[in-house]
Amino acid sequence: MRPDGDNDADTAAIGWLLRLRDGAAADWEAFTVWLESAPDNNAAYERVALADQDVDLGSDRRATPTAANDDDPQRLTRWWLLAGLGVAAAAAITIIIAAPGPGVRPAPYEVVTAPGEKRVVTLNDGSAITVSGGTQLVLDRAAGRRAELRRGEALFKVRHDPASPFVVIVGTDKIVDLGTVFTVAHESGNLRVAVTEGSVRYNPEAENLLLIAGDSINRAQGGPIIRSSGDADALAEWRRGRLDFADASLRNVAARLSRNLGTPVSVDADIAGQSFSGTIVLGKPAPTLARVADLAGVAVRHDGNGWRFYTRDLGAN
Amino acid sequence: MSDENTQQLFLALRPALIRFLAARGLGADEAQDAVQDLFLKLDGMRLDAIADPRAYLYRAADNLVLDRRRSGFRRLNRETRWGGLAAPIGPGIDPQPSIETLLIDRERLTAVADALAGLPERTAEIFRRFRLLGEPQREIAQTLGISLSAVEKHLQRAYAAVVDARRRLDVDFGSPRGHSSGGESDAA
Repeated sequence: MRPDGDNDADTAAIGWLLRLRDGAAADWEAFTVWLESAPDNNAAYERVALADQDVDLGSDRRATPTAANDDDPQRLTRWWLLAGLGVAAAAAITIIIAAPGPGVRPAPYEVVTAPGEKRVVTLNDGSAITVSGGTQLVLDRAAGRRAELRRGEALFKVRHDPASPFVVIVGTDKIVDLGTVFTVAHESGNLRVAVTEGSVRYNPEAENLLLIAGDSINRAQGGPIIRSSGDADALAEWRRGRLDFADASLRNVAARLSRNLGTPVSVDADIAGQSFSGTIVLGKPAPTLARVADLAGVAVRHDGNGWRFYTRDLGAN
Repeated sequence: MSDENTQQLFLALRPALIRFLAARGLGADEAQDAVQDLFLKLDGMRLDAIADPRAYLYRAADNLVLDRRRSGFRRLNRETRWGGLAAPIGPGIDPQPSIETLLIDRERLTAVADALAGLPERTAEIFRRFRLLGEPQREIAQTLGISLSAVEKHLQRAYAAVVDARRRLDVDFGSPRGHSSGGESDAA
């Protein structure tokens, strides 16, 4: 099938491809010398480099702007499935200089959602961020590969680029994508990261935790990292109009309901720490909250400022 | 070029880039043009935030050649199918891929997927980490508890399979220069 001489040239060319992946300028200089050393070397390298690009064919890496309400960024991560399912062909052209690098004039802008609102932001590189209600997210047109989550919750479907990983900043924490769909939530000093697809790296310079699909971490400010596996989808449930709670405090339940229902929900101090587990289908506030109260064994009432959970005794008064 | 440092860096690296582009199969004039293209595309960018700006420029130049080669193949495949000539170096990438291009890409993707599916599990896992997750080889070696050279061997094997898949397709598609996709400078 392959001429014998090509074998050696291919092996050498693959070696160069591997070396140049994270190559320094000196590696490229040495590579130039190798190219010049035999007339067939360039052809071998090109064969290998083009084959390497074929691996991207499923991902459609060209940055085609999508409508802001396009809620189907699934295709971006399709190349994930590559090994199993050959699907979706589109030209794969990697132009590393097409996207402005970091350090271009900063042009930050904020995405702020009202409680209950849900918005999809599509970035220039095709990455999509589904922003939950009550969220404040800072993006930068000049630094398209980073986002700062000030508060709230967002689901990131990012177009992976090993040369320029997508970074989510939460306070002093950093979440670095490695080809990924993941959710980051930040409320009352509590950080949650859950990976639905692919993997991310948490605080590469510090804890350097690799989280893969299904993993999630929970961390109170300055506290230990609580890691669990297998419930990543739970965190992204709100996208599908459902909230899953596993051993969550009622304080936490109220905060999440508040953001997702778009109405203030609070909880009496004496039951705020009570634990709650269950799945809540989001609907109109009154029946949704009634259902939560029912499951939690508490009462709920609407006063002038919003909804509030009470102990059942008080609520019955 | 709005940033002075970028401009200086670029000018300093220009001869080396032209030499590199020539080694990558571009003629002298084409290499000059390509460097000019690169220069225009980088206009307004500040490279000082990039870890190794010189390596970045080399990579950008390399991608430029690959893009031209790829779009050149497309044109040739679609229009003329000249057997003996290599890809022309033209200015444009097809704005819209043709149906034929998409079909060819689909074939390629299927071929690559098949090639990867045929790899031993360990090799496929290492390739996936390296190529899809972007994990450095050193890290893969640490995670899996094997040596760096073992990682490289697995990657060699995976890439050889992918290259073979492409080579077989090129024969099918009657790609210019068959399996050898070199530049015009080596068209004997």
